[in-house]
Amino acid sequence: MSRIVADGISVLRERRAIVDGVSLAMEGGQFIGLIGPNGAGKSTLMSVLAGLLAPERGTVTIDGAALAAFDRRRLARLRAYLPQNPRAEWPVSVERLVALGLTPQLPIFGALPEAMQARVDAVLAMVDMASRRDQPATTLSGGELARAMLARALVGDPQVLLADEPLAGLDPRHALDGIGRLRGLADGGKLVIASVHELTLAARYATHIAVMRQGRLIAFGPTAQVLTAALLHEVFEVDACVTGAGTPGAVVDFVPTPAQA
Amino acid sequence: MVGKRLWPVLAGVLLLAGVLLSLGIGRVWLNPLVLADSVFQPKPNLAWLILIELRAPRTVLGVLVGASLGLSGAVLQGLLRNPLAEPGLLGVSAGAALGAVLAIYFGLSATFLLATPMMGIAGAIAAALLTLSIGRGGTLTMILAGVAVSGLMAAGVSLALNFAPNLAAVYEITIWLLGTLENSDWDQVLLVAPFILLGWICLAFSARDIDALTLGEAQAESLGVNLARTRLLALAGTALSVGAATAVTGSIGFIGLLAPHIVRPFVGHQPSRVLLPAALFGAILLVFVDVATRAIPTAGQEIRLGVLTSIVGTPFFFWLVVKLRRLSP
Amino acid sequence: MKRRWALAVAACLGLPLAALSGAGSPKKAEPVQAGKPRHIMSIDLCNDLLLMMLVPKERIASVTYLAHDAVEVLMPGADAGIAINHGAAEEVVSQKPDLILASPWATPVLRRLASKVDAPLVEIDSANSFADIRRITRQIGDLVGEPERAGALIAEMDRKLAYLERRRPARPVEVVAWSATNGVPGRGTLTDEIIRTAGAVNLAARLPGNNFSSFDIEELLAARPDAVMRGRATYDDLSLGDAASEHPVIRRAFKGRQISYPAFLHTCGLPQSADSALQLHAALGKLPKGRPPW
Repeated sequence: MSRIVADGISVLRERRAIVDGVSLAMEGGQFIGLIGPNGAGKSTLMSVLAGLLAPERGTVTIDGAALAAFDRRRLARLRAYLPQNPRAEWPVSVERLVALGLTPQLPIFGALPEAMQARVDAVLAMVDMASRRDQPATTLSGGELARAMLARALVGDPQVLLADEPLAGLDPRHALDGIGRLRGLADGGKLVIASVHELTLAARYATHIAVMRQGRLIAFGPTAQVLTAALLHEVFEVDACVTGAGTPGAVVDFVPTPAQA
Repeated sequence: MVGKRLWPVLAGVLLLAGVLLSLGIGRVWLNPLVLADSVFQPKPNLAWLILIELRAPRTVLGVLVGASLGLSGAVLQGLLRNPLAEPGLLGVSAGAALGAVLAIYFGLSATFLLATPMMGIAGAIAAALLTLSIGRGGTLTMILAGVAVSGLMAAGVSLALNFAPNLAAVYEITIWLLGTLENSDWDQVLLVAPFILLGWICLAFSARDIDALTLGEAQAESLGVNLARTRLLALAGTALSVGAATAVTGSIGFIGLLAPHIVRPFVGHQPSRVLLPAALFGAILLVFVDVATRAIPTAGQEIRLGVLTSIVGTPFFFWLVVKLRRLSP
Repeated sequence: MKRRWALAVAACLGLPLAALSGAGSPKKAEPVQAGKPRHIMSIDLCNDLLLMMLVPKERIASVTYLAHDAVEVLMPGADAGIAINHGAAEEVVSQKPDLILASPWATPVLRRLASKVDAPLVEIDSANSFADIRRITRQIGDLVGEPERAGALIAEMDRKLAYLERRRPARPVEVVAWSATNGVPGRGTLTDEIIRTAGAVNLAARLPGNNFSSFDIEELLAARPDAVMRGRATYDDLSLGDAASEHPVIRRAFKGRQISYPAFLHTCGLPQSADSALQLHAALGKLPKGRPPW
């Protein structure tokens, strides 16, 4: 069970605060949906939480240990990170792609040990990509690539998964499939943090919601409490209608204002 | 296509064939049996002299240089995720050329035989240090710095040609730049071998990192790859191996670009799997082209190695561009 | 006042013009002036050396900057106090010579400028044989008005050549003047004649074609000459060629069989080129007996 605490994170770029004084405490078993308008600083915050970007102010700790002090490979085994629109640069097979997730565990030279090969097989089966294991990754469809990348992230059995817009560009079936898997991981004890734009899906599957606007954290808490029409109006400047937040039947509707109709 | 298990056998056979041809072919035709028998005849004898003093070091150097070019090309293509990357990008080859040209220009090469390759190695390392210091902070920056350094070194060579005190010097500088293995001897092999082997070690250590780069820089970093270290290994490995190679042979193009592409259909696209085959095939390619320079009958001057690799390599380059054009949307 | 100046200028320009009216085309020069040329400029190394041998310093306007190192070997101190030129067209204008000795590769700009300042420019051929050397020495001697000095130099050279003729060895030795990049002098070159005069056989003369051909190291070893001649540059001759010629196999295989010669006496045809033949003759006598051991 991992616990991540971010304290007063600020990221500055040319004296403008992309992330401004964000503090969060998260732990395993939670699926945190990070929402906010474009340019709110979500991706930057995720990079900081993943340990890939050093903030100008503030600290991040995992289980009490400062992120900055972590050895790269130990951190890589502990947490997995999926950026926006991940793609494969070479047409390697799906199996090879997924096996790359084991890089932190591999020695400098030598082939994949037997035990690790078994993990690759298992995780391929888990995302239903076993039948495509030899297909070149560059020929996969959007949904298939998303599943393959998720498999890549999970093959090392990390405690924490950070995914930046994992549902971008996916059709409804694959989006549903994807976010369902993420919730399943959280239910299994992992800490999952994902930034999403699909608010209905977030309302149904996320256990907690973190809301950002202009670099600041506006709200953070269990979905039912945070995801309200008033909040959405404040943050997205649109009228919303939220029903059943935090339940499998949740719906988030945007109501056009008279000016937009 | 030849299966994955067969390629090491194929490569081994081709390399052996190339080596034997290189030992057997030269401007003076010697019966291979006579050549082989010369080992047992009392020394010195003509066949022995030609075999051991001339053709053997030339073959060894050909293998070392070709392998360095192929290996470095494969590493750089993996690092940059770009199929058009090749060792010259980092400014190292141009630096080696400038160092060697300066040795010729200041007459050092006339006094001390190994002056040219030594200055070439120094030039390569200087260029690499320049690229490294200017190109900090990102792969794109490093490439741009490499291009800038290449330009600077090329300007230096042009300057040397401009101010060369006599026609003979101009001719010799120009001819050197065209690339050759003609004057290889064991002293040169002993000089460059340590640098080349050290370079190979650096390049080999980058294998895991460039594999992870298949996922892009962000994911690779999240997997624990230290990108700055990877760039440093690629740069140092190229500077040492390709720099030393260029210092003895002059500019040899296209091998570093071609070799990884030729082996990918056999071994797949995973970058670390391409390294050793590309090295082997670079060696095979260079040795065969070097044999061709000796075998092609010309009146007077032998056709230069760098010229022949360009003639052979350019059609392939065109083919590569056409293939990429078809693949991209 | 102005008219007198104009007359003076006209006179200065007119006299040489009048004198030159009898001159033929630049290539075929005959003695053209009533007196000897007093301000001679040479823009080619070989001509520099011949000039300094034939006329006193006061009558020399300038010689090329390349001349000094060769002069130090040939006639030390002979160029002390003589001005230097770089073969540039502007120097022709500034030095106002009354005779210019040039090589056949004088640029058209130079020739035009020379005719503008009324300085006769003569292109002297390069020498490929002792006969050429005689002809050229006589030609320059006549041009500068010192035919007797020229005759004396030629006589000295002919004495040395006759000496060598009397001492031809019974079995001629085979040599080749080898260089990896500069080409090997074959038939029709001065080096070839020097080798023959010294009593040896030039292996490169057997190759097809005249003048310079290329000779691979393997071919050199296979040809097994008794000796290899190496051109010794007596001045800064930037040469990877020299280093390349030093392939260790040559050092080792031809140990004791390497003869060095002063390269400039071969590229410039001078009466002293006969000395090179004498040196070669002496060196040939010191070679180990028998052919190379492989």
